[in-house]
Amino acid sequence: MWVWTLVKWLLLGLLDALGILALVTLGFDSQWTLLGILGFGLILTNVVLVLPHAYPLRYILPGLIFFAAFVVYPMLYSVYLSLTNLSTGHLLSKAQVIDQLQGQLLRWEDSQTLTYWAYGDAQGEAILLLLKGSDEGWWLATLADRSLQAIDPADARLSDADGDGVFDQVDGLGRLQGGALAQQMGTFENTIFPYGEDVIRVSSLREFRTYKRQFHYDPQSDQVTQHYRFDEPTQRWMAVEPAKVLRADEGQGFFVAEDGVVLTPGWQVWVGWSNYLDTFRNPRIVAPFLGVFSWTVAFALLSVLLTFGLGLLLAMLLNDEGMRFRRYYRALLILPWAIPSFISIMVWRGLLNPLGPASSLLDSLFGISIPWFNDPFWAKAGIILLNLWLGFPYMMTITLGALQGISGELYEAAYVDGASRWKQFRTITFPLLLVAVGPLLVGSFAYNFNNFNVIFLFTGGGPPIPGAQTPAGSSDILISYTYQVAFNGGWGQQYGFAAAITIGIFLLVGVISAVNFKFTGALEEVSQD
Amino acid sequence: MRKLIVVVGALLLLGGIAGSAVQGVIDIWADDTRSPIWEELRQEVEAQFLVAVKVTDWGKPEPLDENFKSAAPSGEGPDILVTIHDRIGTLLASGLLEPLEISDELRAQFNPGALAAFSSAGKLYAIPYAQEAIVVYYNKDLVPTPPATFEELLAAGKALMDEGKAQYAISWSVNQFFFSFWTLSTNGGFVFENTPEGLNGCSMGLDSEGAIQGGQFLRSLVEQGLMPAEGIGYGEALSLFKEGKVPFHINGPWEAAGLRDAGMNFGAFHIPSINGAQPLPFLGVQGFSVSAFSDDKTTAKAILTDYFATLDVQKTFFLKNPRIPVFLPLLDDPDVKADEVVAVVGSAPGTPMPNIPEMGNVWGAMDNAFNLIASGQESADSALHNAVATIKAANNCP
Repeated sequence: MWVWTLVKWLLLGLLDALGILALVTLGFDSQWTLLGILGFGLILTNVVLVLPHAYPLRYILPGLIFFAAFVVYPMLYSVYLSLTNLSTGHLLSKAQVIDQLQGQLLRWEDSQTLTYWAYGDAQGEAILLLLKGSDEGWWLATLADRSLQAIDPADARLSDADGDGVFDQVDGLGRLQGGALAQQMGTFENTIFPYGEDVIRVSSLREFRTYKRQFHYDPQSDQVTQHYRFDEPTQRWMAVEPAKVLRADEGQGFFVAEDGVVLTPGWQVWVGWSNYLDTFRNPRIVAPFLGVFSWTVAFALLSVLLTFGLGLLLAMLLNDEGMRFRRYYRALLILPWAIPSFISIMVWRGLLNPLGPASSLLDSLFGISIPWFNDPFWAKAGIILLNLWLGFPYMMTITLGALQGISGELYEAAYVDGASRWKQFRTITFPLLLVAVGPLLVGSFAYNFNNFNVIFLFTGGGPPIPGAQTPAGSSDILISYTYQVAFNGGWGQQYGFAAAITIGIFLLVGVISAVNFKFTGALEEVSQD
Repeated sequence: MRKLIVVVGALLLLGGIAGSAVQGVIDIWADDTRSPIWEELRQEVEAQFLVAVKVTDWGKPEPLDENFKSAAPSGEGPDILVTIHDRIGTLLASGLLEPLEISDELRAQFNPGALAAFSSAGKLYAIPYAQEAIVVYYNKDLVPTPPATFEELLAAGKALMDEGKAQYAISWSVNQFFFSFWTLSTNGGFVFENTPEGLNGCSMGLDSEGAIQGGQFLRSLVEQGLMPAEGIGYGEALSLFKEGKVPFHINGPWEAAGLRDAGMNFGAFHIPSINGAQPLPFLGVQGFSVSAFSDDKTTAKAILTDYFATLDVQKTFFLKNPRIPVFLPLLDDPDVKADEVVAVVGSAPGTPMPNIPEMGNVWGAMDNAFNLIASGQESADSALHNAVATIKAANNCP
C-alpha cells in the first residue's frame, strides 16, 4: 500500500537527515576517521534500501555494520597499536611534544605584566588584543598572524566613545567583556608573541606576562635547544651555557642529548615488529612469558579434560533409568552453573582465604594449612578446582543431551553380541559422544584459554614470580598478563606491547578454531557408517 | 516526487546547524568523594567565572587516571582533575599536566611540603589541599593507653593474645608497599637518592643495610605469630581490627569515618619508635591539577588559584569529606582542631612519596617483594635486591 511506501521514504529521509547532521558535526570537530566511516555506512545504507537489486543485502547489512564496527575495527586498531610504542611517556604525537616544549615558559625576576583588552567581530570571535605594559608602552597584537606592533594611544584606529579611559573600539571591532571574553579565552591563551628578546603570553584572566623560553625547536635540523635548567639546591632557574642541543631520536621517540639525557615527554613512534620479537628476544620478558604461555595451555587443557570427565561421569549416572530422584540431583548439580560466576569466584576466594572457613577446617581436622594464594603450585591447583566447580554442570548437561541422542538399539545389539559394559562404552558411547560434543570441547578450550575472570578475581595473577621484571604472576594466563601490562599503573603502562600479545592470542585461538573445523569434519565420517 | 520532497526536507534541516561549542565549558573530573562537593559548588563557580561547569564522577581514581591518559591527548579530557602526588610522575612523563603559577602570598598559605610534593623541576603542577599519612589505630577497649615504643606495642599485643582476647598483635595491609614502607625507612631505607639535581631515579636505597633489617623485622613479626602468617589484604586486615581480634591496626585517616560508623572506641598515634629509631611512613598529598590539553586553561587555573585556594571553599571540602588540610589558615580553624585523628595525622612524621616518573615502576615490584618477605618464600635480603634490580631495569637504568 502506498502508505507503507511513504512511511519507508520518510524514515529513510529522517535517517539521512540525522546522518548528515552527525557528519557535519564531525566535520566541525575535524574527526575525519569517524566521518569517513559514518559517511560510508550512510551511503551503503541508502544504496541497499533504495536499489531493488540489493534487497537480499538488507538482512545482513545491520550485522555487517556491527561486525565492522566492533570486530574488524578493534582488530585493525590493535594491529596498528602493536606496531607502535604507545606506553607511559609516549602517549603524544611529535607535534604535541614540540608544542609542549615550546610552551614551557619561565618567569624571570624582571618579568613584567601587561594589562590587555580583547576586541572581536560581530560573532564574538577575538581578532585583536590591545596591551599596555607597566612601562606605559602600548601594543597591538593580531591573533591571526601572531604579530605584535607598537601602537600610539592617540592613533585614530583606537576609539574611546564614552571617555572612560578604556578603548571601546579598535579598527571598528567592539570590546569583548565578561562571558563573551571568557568564552574566547581558549582561542588565544596558548598563543606566544615575541617581545624583544623575551616572549609574552596570557598569565591570568586579566594579564599578560613576559617570559623566557626554556626550549627552542628548529624544524630544519629537527633539534631542540635547551636554554635554561632548574637547579635543585638553589631552587633557581639557571641559564645553560652553552645551550644544550637535543636531537630527535625517531627510534625511541625522545629528544636525546649527546650525554644520553632524554627529555620527557616522548612521543609515539613506529617500532615495527619489535613488540612481537620482544616476547622471545628480550631476556626480561622471555622466561616469565614462556611460563605464562605454558600455564595457559595447561590450564585450558586441564579444565576441559577435568570438567568433561566429571560431567560425563555424572551424566552417565543421571542417564541410568534405575537411579531414583534423578531430577532433584540434576537440579542441584546445575546450580554452580546458574550462579553468576563473578559471585561464586569471590565466594571461593573468601572460602580458601587463610583466615577463612576452609583453612580452619583443614587445620582442625588434619592439622595442615595449605597456602592457597601464596604458593605457585597451590594457587594453580585452586584455580583448577574452582574452574572444575564452575564448568562441570555445562559439560554434564551437554553430555546428557548427547547420551540421550544415542539410539538404544545399538546397546541392545551390543548386549546380544556379548560386549561388556566397558566395551560398549568404549566403542559405542564414547565415539558417538565425541561427534556431538567434540566441537563444544574445542570451544570450551578456546573459552578457557581466555578465561580472564577466574584468574583475575581469584588470585589476581597469583603469587609473584621472584625476580620477574615484567608484571607476570605465577598463575597468570596470557590474557590476564596482557591486562597487567596494559593497565597496571604500578609497572608503567605499555599499550603497544599488550596489543602485540593480544594479536598473538588471536592468531593462536584462530588456529585452534581452524583445527576445530577439520576435527569435526573427520568425526562426521565416523557416524556415517 | 515523494523522494524528492524527502531529500529536500533533509537538506533544509542542514540550515542552522552549528558546530558543537567545546570552549566555554569547564570539565571537572573527580572521584566519588569529591565530585559531590564540586557539584554543590558548581553554581557559585559558574556565576563567578561566567563559564559553564560540568562535573564528572569517576568513582575511583584508577579509572579516572586511565581515561585521562587516553582522553587528554585527543582533546576529550577534562580541564580540572583530582591528582594524587605520587601518581603525577607518569602524567608528567607523558606531558599531560599544565604548570601553575601562584603568587608568593598564596604560596605562603600552603604547607611547603605539600607544595614540594606537587612540584617537579621547579614548576608546580597542582593546588594541594589534603595530606595523608598512616598512623596506628588502637582499640581503646583492649588497650587503654597508647604504647610509647614499638616494643611496648608488641608486648601489649602479646599479652592480649596470651589472655585469649586477641588473635594477633597488629595487622595492616602488608602486601602493599604504601603501607609497609615504614619498616624499611626506620633504619635509613629510602626510595630514591636526593641529589642536587633532584631525586635520582637510578640510585635507590630500598636494599640498603637498614632496609634489609626492616624486612627481617617484618618477617620476625610473622614468625613470632604476632601478625597473620600469610600476608593478608587490605580488607582482611581492617576486618580483623573492626571485629576486635587485633588491638593495633595501621591505616590512613580515610578509614576513621568508617570506624566511627562501626561504633568502635578507637584512638590513633604515630608509629612508635623501633629500637629508638623513628619509622617514617609515606606522606601522600592530594590536590587538583589543570590538564595540559584543556581548552580553557586560564579560566581553569583561575578557578583553582582564586576560588579553590580560599578559606571558605577549603573549609567546605573539609566539612563534607574530612581530610588533613594543608591550607595553613584552615588548620587554625576550631572545627578542624577538634578532630583527634586530624591532629595526629596532621603532625605525623613521614617522608613524601617521590613524584618522579620512575616511581611508577616501584609499586608493583615492591608489593611483590613484601609478599615474598612476609610469607617467608624469600629472605629479605634477596627479595629486596631482586626488587631493586627489577625496578632499575624497568626504568632503563645503566
